[in-house]
Amino acid sequence: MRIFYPQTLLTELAHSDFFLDTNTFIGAISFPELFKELIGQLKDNGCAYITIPSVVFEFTRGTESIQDFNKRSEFIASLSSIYPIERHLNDLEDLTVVLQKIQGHTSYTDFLLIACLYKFPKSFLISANHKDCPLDILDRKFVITVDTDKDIKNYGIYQFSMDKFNKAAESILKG
Amino acid sequence: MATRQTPQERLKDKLYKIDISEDVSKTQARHFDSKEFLRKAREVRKTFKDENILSADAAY
Repeated sequence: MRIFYPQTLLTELAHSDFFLDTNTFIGAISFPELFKELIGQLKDNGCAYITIPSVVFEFTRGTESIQDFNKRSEFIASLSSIYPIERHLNDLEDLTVVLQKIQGHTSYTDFLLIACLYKFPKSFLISANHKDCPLDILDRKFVITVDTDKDIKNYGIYQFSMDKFNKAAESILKG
Repeated sequence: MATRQTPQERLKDKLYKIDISEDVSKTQARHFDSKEFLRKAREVRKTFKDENILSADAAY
Protein backbone atom coordinates (compact mmCIF):
# COMPACT_ATOMS: atom_id res chain seq x y z
CA MET A 1 0.00 0.00 0.00
CA ARG A 2 1.30 3.42 -0.93
CA ILE A 3 0.25 7.04 -1.05
CA PHE A 4 1.45 9.45 -3.72
CA TYR A 5 1.38 13.22 -3.71
CA PRO A 6 3.69 15.92 -5.01
CA GLN A 7 6.11 17.09 -2.34
CA THR A 8 5.44 20.69 -3.44
CA LEU A 9 1.95 20.22 -1.98
CA LEU A 10 3.36 20.45 1.54
CA THR A 11 5.06 23.80 0.96
CA GLU A 12 2.56 25.36 -1.44
CA LEU A 13 -0.36 24.63 0.86
CA ALA A 14 1.39 25.48 4.14
CA HIS A 15 -0.77 27.44 6.62
CA SER A 16 -3.95 26.55 4.73
CA ASP A 17 -7.38 25.52 5.96
CA PHE A 18 -8.69 22.21 4.59
CA PHE A 19 -12.34 21.22 4.56
CA LEU A 20 -12.74 17.44 4.70
CA ASP A 21 -15.47 15.47 2.92
CA THR A 22 -17.04 12.31 4.37
CA ASN A 23 -15.08 10.11 1.97
CA THR A 24 -11.83 11.63 3.24
CA PHE A 25 -12.66 10.57 6.81
CA ILE A 26 -13.59 7.12 5.46
CA GLY A 27 -10.21 6.96 3.71
CA ALA A 28 -8.42 8.06 6.88
CA ILE A 29 -9.93 5.24 8.95
CA SER A 30 -9.58 2.68 6.17
CA PHE A 31 -5.88 3.38 5.63
CA PRO A 32 -4.63 5.36 8.63
CA GLU A 33 -1.05 4.19 8.07
CA LEU A 34 -1.09 5.92 4.67
CA PHE A 35 -2.88 9.08 5.76
CA LYS A 36 -1.10 9.78 9.05
CA GLU A 37 2.07 11.07 7.41
CA LEU A 38 0.30 13.51 5.09
CA ILE A 39 -2.09 14.71 7.80
CA GLY A 40 0.80 15.14 10.25
CA GLN A 41 3.06 16.92 7.78
CA LEU A 42 0.36 19.39 6.80
CA LYS A 43 -0.34 20.01 10.50
CA ASP A 44 3.37 20.61 11.08
CA ASN A 45 3.20 23.17 8.27
CA GLY A 46 0.53 25.14 10.11
CA CYS A 47 -2.57 23.73 8.37
CA ALA A 48 -5.99 23.33 9.98
CA TYR A 49 -8.71 20.76 9.26
CA ILE A 50 -12.38 21.64 9.23
CA THR A 51 -15.61 19.91 8.39
CA ILE A 52 -19.32 20.65 8.61
CA PRO A 53 -22.25 19.20 10.61
CA SER A 54 -23.63 17.49 7.51
CA VAL A 55 -20.42 15.46 7.13
CA VAL A 56 -20.57 14.56 10.83
CA PHE A 57 -24.09 13.26 10.22
CA GLU A 58 -23.00 11.18 7.22
CA PHE A 59 -20.00 9.76 9.10
CA THR A 60 -21.99 8.84 12.21
CA ARG A 61 -24.97 7.52 10.24
CA GLY A 62 -25.58 3.82 10.77
CA THR A 63 -24.23 3.62 14.31
CA GLU A 64 -26.56 1.62 16.51
CA SER A 65 -25.02 2.17 19.93
CA ILE A 66 -23.98 5.09 22.09
CA GLN A 67 -20.39 3.80 22.13
CA ASP A 68 -20.09 3.58 18.34
CA PHE A 69 -21.71 6.98 17.83
CA ASN A 70 -19.31 8.50 20.37
CA LYS A 71 -16.24 6.85 18.83
CA ARG A 72 -17.03 8.24 15.39
CA SER A 73 -17.97 11.69 16.70
CA GLU A 74 -14.84 11.91 18.84
CA PHE A 75 -12.68 10.84 15.90
CA ILE A 76 -14.00 13.68 13.75
CA ALA A 77 -13.67 16.17 16.60
CA SER A 78 -10.09 15.04 17.32
CA LEU A 79 -9.09 15.72 13.73
CA SER A 80 -11.10 18.76 12.72
CA SER A 81 -13.11 21.81 13.74
CA ILE A 82 -16.79 21.81 12.83
CA TYR A 83 -17.89 24.94 10.99
CA PRO A 84 -21.63 25.85 10.93
CA ILE A 85 -21.96 26.77 7.26
CA GLU A 86 -25.73 26.24 7.49
CA ARG A 87 -25.96 29.45 9.53
CA HIS A 88 -24.84 31.37 6.46
CA LEU A 89 -27.37 30.05 3.95
CA ASN A 90 -28.94 33.52 3.71
CA ASP A 91 -25.82 34.71 1.91
CA LEU A 92 -25.50 31.89 -0.63
CA GLU A 93 -28.30 32.56 -3.12
CA ASP A 94 -25.91 33.36 -5.99
CA LEU A 95 -23.95 30.14 -5.39
CA THR A 96 -27.21 28.18 -5.25
CA VAL A 97 -28.33 29.49 -8.63
CA VAL A 98 -24.95 28.95 -10.28
CA LEU A 99 -24.64 25.41 -8.92
CA GLN A 100 -28.18 24.56 -10.03
CA LYS A 101 -27.25 25.73 -13.51
CA ILE A 102 -23.98 23.82 -13.83
CA GLN A 103 -24.79 20.79 -11.70
CA GLY A 104 -28.45 20.39 -10.75
CA HIS A 105 -28.00 17.04 -8.97
CA THR A 106 -25.55 18.27 -6.30
CA SER A 107 -26.27 16.74 -2.88
CA TYR A 108 -26.89 19.02 0.09
CA THR A 109 -23.62 18.06 1.77
CA ASP A 110 -21.62 18.69 -1.41
CA PHE A 111 -23.39 22.03 -1.87
CA LEU A 112 -22.47 23.02 1.69
CA LEU A 113 -18.82 21.99 1.24
CA ILE A 114 -18.59 24.03 -1.96
CA ALA A 115 -20.28 26.87 -0.06
CA CYS A 116 -17.40 26.72 2.45
CA LEU A 117 -14.90 27.18 -0.40
CA TYR A 118 -17.02 30.06 -1.72
CA LYS A 119 -17.06 31.72 1.71
CA PHE A 120 -13.36 31.06 2.37
CA PRO A 121 -11.75 31.31 -1.09
CA LYS A 122 -8.24 30.69 0.25
CA SER A 123 -9.27 27.37 1.79
CA PHE A 124 -9.27 23.92 0.17
CA LEU A 125 -11.53 20.90 0.03
CA ILE A 126 -10.19 17.33 0.07
CA SER A 127 -12.64 14.94 -1.56
CA ALA A 128 -12.69 11.69 -3.54
CA ASN A 129 -16.08 12.59 -4.97
CA HIS A 130 -14.85 14.28 -8.14
CA LYS A 131 -18.09 14.27 -10.09
CA ASP A 132 -19.64 16.53 -7.44
CA CYS A 133 -16.74 18.98 -7.41
CA PRO A 134 -17.46 20.95 -10.60
CA LEU A 135 -14.41 22.37 -12.32
CA ASP A 136 -16.75 25.01 -13.80
CA ILE A 137 -16.28 26.96 -10.55
CA LEU A 138 -13.47 25.06 -8.75
CA ASP A 139 -9.80 24.48 -9.50
CA ARG A 140 -8.30 21.08 -8.75
CA LYS A 141 -4.93 22.10 -7.34
CA PHE A 142 -3.47 18.70 -6.46
CA VAL A 143 -4.32 15.00 -6.61
CA ILE A 144 -3.42 12.52 -3.89
CA THR A 145 -3.38 8.89 -5.02
CA VAL A 146 -3.86 6.01 -2.60
CA ASP A 147 -2.84 2.57 -3.88
CA THR A 148 -4.53 0.10 -1.53
CA ASP A 149 -3.23 -2.96 -3.44
CA LYS A 150 -6.88 -3.86 -4.19
CA ASP A 151 -7.89 -0.49 -5.59
CA ILE A 152 -6.57 2.94 -6.52
CA LYS A 153 -8.34 5.90 -4.96
CA ASN A 154 -7.77 9.53 -5.93
CA TYR A 155 -8.41 12.48 -3.64
CA GLY A 156 -8.63 15.92 -5.21
CA ILE A 157 -7.64 19.12 -3.46
CA TYR A 158 -10.06 21.77 -4.66
CA GLN A 159 -10.19 25.54 -4.36
CA PHE A 160 -12.85 28.05 -5.35
CA SER A 161 -12.22 30.07 -8.51
CA MET A 162 -13.88 33.47 -8.50
CA ASP A 163 -12.94 33.95 -12.17
CA LYS A 164 -14.78 30.78 -13.15
CA PHE A 165 -17.70 31.68 -10.89
CA ASN A 166 -18.03 35.11 -12.50
CA LYS A 167 -18.08 33.52 -15.96
CA ALA A 168 -20.83 31.11 -14.84
CA ALA A 169 -22.78 34.01 -13.29
CA GLU A 170 -22.35 36.02 -16.48
CA SER A 171 -23.85 33.23 -18.57
CA ILE A 172 -26.88 33.07 -16.24
CA LEU A 173 -27.34 36.83 -16.42
CA LYS A 174 -27.36 36.63 -20.22
CA GLY A 175 -30.19 34.12 -19.85
CA MET B 1 -35.31 15.67 46.18
CA ALA B 2 -33.46 15.34 42.88
CA THR B 3 -35.60 15.50 39.77
CA ARG B 4 -35.51 12.28 37.74
CA GLN B 5 -34.07 12.74 34.29
CA THR B 6 -36.17 11.79 31.28
CA PRO B 7 -34.78 9.13 28.88
CA GLN B 8 -34.11 11.94 26.42
CA GLU B 9 -32.01 13.80 28.98
CA ARG B 10 -30.13 10.63 30.00
CA LEU B 11 -29.37 9.82 26.37
CA LYS B 12 -28.18 13.36 25.70
CA ASP B 13 -25.82 13.07 28.69
CA LYS B 14 -24.21 9.94 27.27
CA LEU B 15 -23.68 11.18 23.72
CA TYR B 16 -20.57 12.98 22.57
CA LYS B 17 -21.36 16.64 22.01
CA ILE B 18 -19.76 18.05 18.89
CA ASP B 19 -18.45 21.57 19.34
CA ILE B 20 -19.62 23.67 16.40
CA SER B 21 -17.70 26.91 16.04
CA GLU B 22 -17.26 29.84 13.69
CA ASP B 23 -13.53 29.69 14.42
CA VAL B 24 -12.26 27.62 11.50
CA SER B 25 -8.65 27.59 12.66
CA LYS B 26 -9.29 25.84 15.97
CA THR B 27 -7.45 22.68 14.93
CA GLN B 28 -4.38 24.65 13.92
CA ALA B 29 -3.26 24.92 17.53
CA ARG B 30 -4.02 21.27 18.26
CA HIS B 31 -1.07 18.90 18.30
CA PHE B 32 -1.30 15.93 15.92
CA ASP B 33 -0.31 12.70 17.63
CA SER B 34 0.14 10.06 14.92
CA LYS B 35 0.03 7.13 17.39
CA GLU B 36 -3.22 8.41 18.87
CA PHE B 37 -4.57 8.96 15.36
CA LEU B 38 -3.77 5.35 14.40
CA ARG B 39 -5.37 4.01 17.56
CA LYS B 40 -8.56 6.04 17.13
CA ALA B 41 -8.82 5.27 13.40
CA ARG B 42 -8.61 1.52 14.08
CA GLU B 43 -11.23 1.79 16.82
CA VAL B 44 -13.59 3.73 14.54
CA ARG B 45 -13.00 1.27 11.72
CA LYS B 46 -14.41 -1.49 13.93
CA THR B 47 -17.70 0.42 14.20
CA PHE B 48 -18.27 -0.11 10.48
CA LYS B 49 -19.79 -3.53 10.00
CA ASP B 50 -18.87 -3.64 6.35
CA GLU B 51 -15.22 -4.75 6.18
CA ASN B 52 -14.81 -3.04 2.84
CA ILE B 53 -15.42 0.48 4.10
CA LEU B 54 -14.00 2.17 1.05
CA SER B 55 -16.66 0.71 -1.18
CA ALA B 56 -19.33 1.75 1.33
CA ASP B 57 -18.42 5.42 0.93
CA ALA B 58 -19.95 5.32 -2.53
CA ALA B 59 -23.26 5.60 -0.69
CA TYR B 60 -22.41 9.01 0.79
